[in-house]
Amino acid sequence: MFAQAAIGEHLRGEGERLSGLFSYNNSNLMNALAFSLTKTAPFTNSSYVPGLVDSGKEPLVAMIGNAGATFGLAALASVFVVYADTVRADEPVTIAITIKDHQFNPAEVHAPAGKPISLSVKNLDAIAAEFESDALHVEKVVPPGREAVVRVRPLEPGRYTFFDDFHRATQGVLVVP
Amino acid sequence: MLPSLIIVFREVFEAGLIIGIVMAVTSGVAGRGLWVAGGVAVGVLGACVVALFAGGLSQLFHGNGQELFNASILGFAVVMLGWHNVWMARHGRELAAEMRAAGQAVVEGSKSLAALAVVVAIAVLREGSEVVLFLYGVAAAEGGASVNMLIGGVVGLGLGALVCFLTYVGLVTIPTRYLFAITSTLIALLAAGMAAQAIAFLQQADILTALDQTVWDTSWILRDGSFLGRALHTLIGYVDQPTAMQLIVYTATLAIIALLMKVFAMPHQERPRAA
Repeated sequence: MFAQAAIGEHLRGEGERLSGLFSYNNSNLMNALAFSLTKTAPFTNSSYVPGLVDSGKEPLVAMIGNAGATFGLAALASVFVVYADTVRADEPVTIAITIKDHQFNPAEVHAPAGKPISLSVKNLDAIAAEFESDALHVEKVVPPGREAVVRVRPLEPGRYTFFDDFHRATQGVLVVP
Repeated sequence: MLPSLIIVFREVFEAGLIIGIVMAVTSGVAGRGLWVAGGVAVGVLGACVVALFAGGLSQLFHGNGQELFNASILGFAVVMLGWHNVWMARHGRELAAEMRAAGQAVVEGSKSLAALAVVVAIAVLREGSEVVLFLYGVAAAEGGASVNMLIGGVVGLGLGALVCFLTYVGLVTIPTRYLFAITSTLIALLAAGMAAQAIAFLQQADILTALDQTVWDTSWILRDGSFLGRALHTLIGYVDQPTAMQLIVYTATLAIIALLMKVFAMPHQERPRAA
């Protein structure tokens, strides 16, 4: 608590120093942080309802805060992506399916349980198809003449149906024994 | 006509929910109709562009272009929604007071309107690109059935607009006392749901493979493919089989938005010395 007060006072000083540098009150960022620290518990406002607002405050503060949050989230995301890359799951099992005349070929495919699956869908028709499956949690548009690859998470044994969202009659099933 | 109607309606009603929420959240703010309409227009234009380049987009980034695109625009929408909440935490009370005093639409709120208009545009663009691709395929198909299908598509669009209207009417009846807390929560949940959806796309693209175990399965209670499931999916991010990564990102988004709102909220007590 003492440390909070000390940090808070320091930040307040920083805020006053900054206010001399910028025409907008960027110091409010420091002040807001300082205030939230020096009031014992960091979050005394138990609800989201704001108090009396100084209409002179600039939305610049919120924008800066949001920019910071964006940067933070981006940093977090990149950490995840890097982590994900180094701790790769098993090599996926690949399965190829084609769409021709609004039919999946093969309409029934098999895959082992517990392994990630890589489904490659090639659209041989002249109009776009959307390869979708609620059970597999995938949805991807496959433009005419193109091939799309979707990764499916490791599955429990069962029957998982997939379909063309643009032409519901086109259906197939992935069987995991 | 019915299959086409259902397909278009399914795509459109999620966007309809979001637009209805945005309209309700911004009720009383001057010019918000124009901003939202602008967002819809930009979204529709964007949807046509995306549909046009769907072929090229799908081939980018080793075939992951579509997923990366979807994940990016969803991420951007999350940031916009977060900003709206932070902005409201800061200016919301002042806004409400001004509205009560003036008894008419208020201009101050327009600063957060841009963020919400972007969210509307993104929602319309995402669902719209699939609708455009589908309707184009239907129109290109041969046979007299195609006109019927197009009509079905238009009716589906109309039903989506109805969903938007109903959502708006439902939310707008909330008394102003609770409005701020409820809309902030709605927007935060919307954002968290979109963040989890973005993660799902990244996992589908094989870009994010860590923590892809399915944590629980509530599909016996409510399948997320059903209409109610999709509505909950949009509103609170309901997924019947979430992966660990999705859960982490969902909670982290809620926590970060809540944290930012606390930090930037103007306190009841004495304000810090203005510099």
